[in-house]
Formats: sequence, C-alpha cells, structure tokens
Amino acid sequence: MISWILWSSLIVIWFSFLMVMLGMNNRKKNIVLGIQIPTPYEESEEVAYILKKYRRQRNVWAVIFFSLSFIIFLFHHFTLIYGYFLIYFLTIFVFSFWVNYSNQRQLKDLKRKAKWISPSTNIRYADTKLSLDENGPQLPRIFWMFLPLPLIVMPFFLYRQEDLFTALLIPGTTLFLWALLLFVFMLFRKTPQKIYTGDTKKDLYYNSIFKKRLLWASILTLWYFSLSNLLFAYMLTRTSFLQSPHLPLFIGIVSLCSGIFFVASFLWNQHTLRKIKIPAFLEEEAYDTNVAGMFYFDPHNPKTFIMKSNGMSSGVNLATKKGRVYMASTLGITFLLLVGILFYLIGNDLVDPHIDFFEDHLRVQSFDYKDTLYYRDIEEIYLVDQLKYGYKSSGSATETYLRGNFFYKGLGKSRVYVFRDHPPYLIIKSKNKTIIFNEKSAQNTLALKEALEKQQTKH
Amino acid sequence: MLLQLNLQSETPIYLQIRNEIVRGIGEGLLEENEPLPSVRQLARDLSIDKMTVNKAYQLLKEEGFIQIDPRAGTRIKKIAPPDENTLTDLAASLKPILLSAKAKGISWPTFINLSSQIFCKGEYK
Repeated sequence: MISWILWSSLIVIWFSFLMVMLGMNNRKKNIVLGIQIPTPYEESEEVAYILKKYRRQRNVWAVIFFSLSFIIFLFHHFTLIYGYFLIYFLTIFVFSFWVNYSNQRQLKDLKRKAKWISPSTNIRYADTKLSLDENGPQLPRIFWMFLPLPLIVMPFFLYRQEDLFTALLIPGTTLFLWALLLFVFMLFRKTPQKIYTGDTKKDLYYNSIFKKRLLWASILTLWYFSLSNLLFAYMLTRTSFLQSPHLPLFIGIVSLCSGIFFVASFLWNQHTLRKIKIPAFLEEEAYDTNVAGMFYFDPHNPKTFIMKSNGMSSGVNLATKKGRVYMASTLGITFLLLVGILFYLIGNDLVDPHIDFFEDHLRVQSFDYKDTLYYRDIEEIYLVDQLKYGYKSSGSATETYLRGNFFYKGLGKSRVYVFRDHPPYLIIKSKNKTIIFNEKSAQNTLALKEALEKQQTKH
Repeated sequence: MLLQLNLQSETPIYLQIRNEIVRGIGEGLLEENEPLPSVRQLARDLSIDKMTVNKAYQLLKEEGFIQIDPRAGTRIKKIAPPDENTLTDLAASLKPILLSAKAKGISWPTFINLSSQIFCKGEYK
C-alpha cells in the first residue's frame, strides 16, 4: 500500500516537472525556451536545431523517469521505499534543471555571438501614480502569510508526543482561517490594490486586467494546501495508518479529491492565461530572467518578491540577496526535512527496542521513545497473540514495526514497541501507562516475560 | 504619467527625469498640487541611484516646478504668472536655439510653425 502512495507522489512530481518543460517549449512571440529572441531570428536554423534537440531530450527524459518510477515496487522495506522516493525526487530535479538550463545556455551563447540584442534593453519606465508610497495597498507579501507561524509551529511541539492529530489540526486550521481572513480583507476593502511585478508597465497592465484572477488563484492554492494538511493529519492519526479496513477507500477518496482539484486548478490556470492578451509592449522584455523554467533572476529588478507574468502567485528574484537567502532557506529546510525523515527511519531500523532491568525499575528504549517503569507499579503482565484494531496518536507505523503512542480497544492509551506480525505481544500494565512490547522471535518474548515476572515477584 | 528614461542616451539621467516631469506639466499630464513619488520609491522603480533622483528633484525645485515638503512629500507647484525674471531666463535659453536655426537657414514662418506645434501639441510631426 505504501509503495502505491509514494508511487502516486512520484507521478505527481514527474508530471509537475513535465509541465515545466512543456511550458518552456510553449512558443510565444519573441520568446524561445524562456529566452528572448528578436523576431527575425526566431525561425533561424540555429534556433530550430536547439529546439529540436530540447524536445528530443525532454521526450527521452519523460520516458526514462516514468519508467524509473516503477522501480519503487521492487522494494519491500519502508526505509528503502522512502530512500528511493527521495533519490528519485532529487535526481528528477537535477536532471530537469540540467536539460532546461543547458539548452537555455546554448541559446544565450548563440544570441550573444550573433549579437541578437533587442534595442529596448536600456529603456526604463516608472509611473508617477503607481510609484507613490501612499498609493493603494499592495497584495499581501509573503511575510503576511507567515505571520501566524508561531501558532502554526508551536502546537506541533506541544502536542507531538501526546496527540499528533491536534498537533497538525491546529496549524492546519490556523493557516486556513488566516488565508480566509486575508481573502475577506482583500475582497471587501475599498482602496485599489496594487500589484508589484518590478516592472511598471506590467504593473499598470496587471492592475487593470487580471488582478482579481491572480488573487483568487493565490488564495485557492493556499486553501488547497491547508485543506490537504487537515486531510493528511486525519489520515495519519484518526485511522490506524495500515490496519484500518477502510484505508484503501479513504486514500482513494483523498487521492480522487486531490486529483480533481489538481486538474481543476490546471484548467483554471490555462483558462486564465488564455484570457490574457499580452499587449505588444510587454513582449519587449528587457532581460532574460527565466532560469531553467524554475527560477527568476533579474539583476536589474531591486524587488525580492515578484508577481509571475506567466503563471500564478509570486516568485522570488534570485538576483537579490534577500531572494537568495529566502530560496536557499526554503529549499534547505525542505531538503533537511526529507533527509531527516530518512535518517529517522534508518535509526529506527538500526536500533531495535530493548528492555533493560535495573535495581528497582526497568527501562524500555527505542530510537526515539523511552519509558521508565518501577516494578512496584506494575499491575499486570500477559501475552496476546493478536493486537485488535487501534489507531496511532503519534510515532511511526510502517509495514514492519509500530512505535509510539497508540490507542487500542480494551487497552486504551498505550506506548507501543512492536514488530508487526511477530506474535506474541507482551502487555505490561501499570498504574499510569500500558506498554506493548515484543521481540522478533517468540522465544525471546516469552523469555522476557519470565524475566519480568521474576523481577515483579522480587519486589 | 509614465516617465521614460533611456540609459544609453547622452543626456544625463537626472536631466532626463527633469525633462520628463517638465514635459508632464507642459502637456497637462501632471496637474497642480499632484503628488510625485518619493526619491526612494522612484529610484527603486527605475532601478537607479537615489542621489540621481534627488538631483533631478532639487533642480526642479530650483526651477520652481515642484515643492518639497518633508511631511507632505513632493508635489507639483502652482505655477505663478511669468514675471520679468522668467522671461529673461527663457530668452537666454532660446537665444542659442534661435540663432542656430537662423544659421541653418530655417525661415521665420517655419520656425514659428514648428514652435506652435510643440507648444500646443507637445510634439512636432
């Protein structure tokens, strides 16, 4: 099941990068692969050759990476499945960047050698009204989106151990309500909105034509992410991740809804873009700012956050120091999180849970959980052959093990250190907590029970 | 009003800004008491140095086109009726242009026709 979930994520990633490549190939007047080529040279043989090469590379890339995605089904251990997912994600990013960037580089070299330079390069514009500081408020900057960040992050640390659902529900709801508040605020205020792109002519155009569409699309995207966060929280916690008989149906519904939303967003974006008729003056772009279809780099624009001229929401100008720091930290945090999870899984694989006996207490320890139990507090020790239906509150539940806080019918809140499908399971009940533990071999579990009973009778 | 600068032009940038604003006033695109962007903002939007914009604004202030108030910001000044000094300055500016035209053999009616077109329509065609 987990292979199917991660495989569908791989396909979404593959599709996203394919869309970037198709977008790059989308011919507009004066723009080839995101590089401005003046009209007379657009149809030249050199440009046609690079385009043909790019299309061939893109097709090969698409087939290879689509085929590579199926390798995930060869792995049966969760750490390996996740490791492959991570490697695939990083590889597809590097390769897509390389294919796009190398072809752009060739076009730029060609343009420079042949001196195909647009005469409008050195013309700058500013509008006396739009440049006024006190002129209408701007679209919310990224700062406002992250204002409730403490509220989003804090519950995760406060409730992570106790209840992961609360830990994820509060941030999700906060983000959702914040997006709603921003949206209502922007919809009903009377002052005109100002969209900054860093280019005054574009500002004038955007403000007059499609600012509302941009706004709607940005807000809807934010809503989608907050809602999917809630769904994800629900999926992870309120149903036992791998034990519930309704899991396939639930994942199916969530995937279907996500799919419908994904397709609807795509169609909406396409519809919006088709509606926009780019006026001639906007096509006289002064600088090549597109880097591999993924990043924006304009040393002549002092603004860090820019509104995308093609596509929705805002982008980051990597030519500014703030932009570089922002992008590096965003990518860095994502990378660290993804790699962190891998190390967490490897840690869990390497360190098996074990029980240590001391003078008056015992200690149960795994890679990320630890419990101390005094012998005098132990009320009951017994074995069961099967764990009944329950759900995870926090911790990890893979196909091979369960670790963390779970809730089981009849046992209540329990701390679980269990290898799946390795009965019997040792239940240790005390005044305050219930621990469920087993070893990989049934004999060891039985031996452990005896040792524990000995210690209990001693005290 | 849309200000346009050409960075490759031989005319200094501060002078281009000054000329553009004067053109705006002359063509009625900038009205009396209309606010102008701050030095910082205009410099940001044009991606040029603040000192360049400041220099242009100081020149416009000296020439009596704008007033700079630290609180109210920069605004287009109410243009006073031309006095003797204004006419003397204008004559001094026109003199080399008129003499140059005469030296190039441009007739008086042609010059008047050209001047009236620029004066009334803002451009010559």
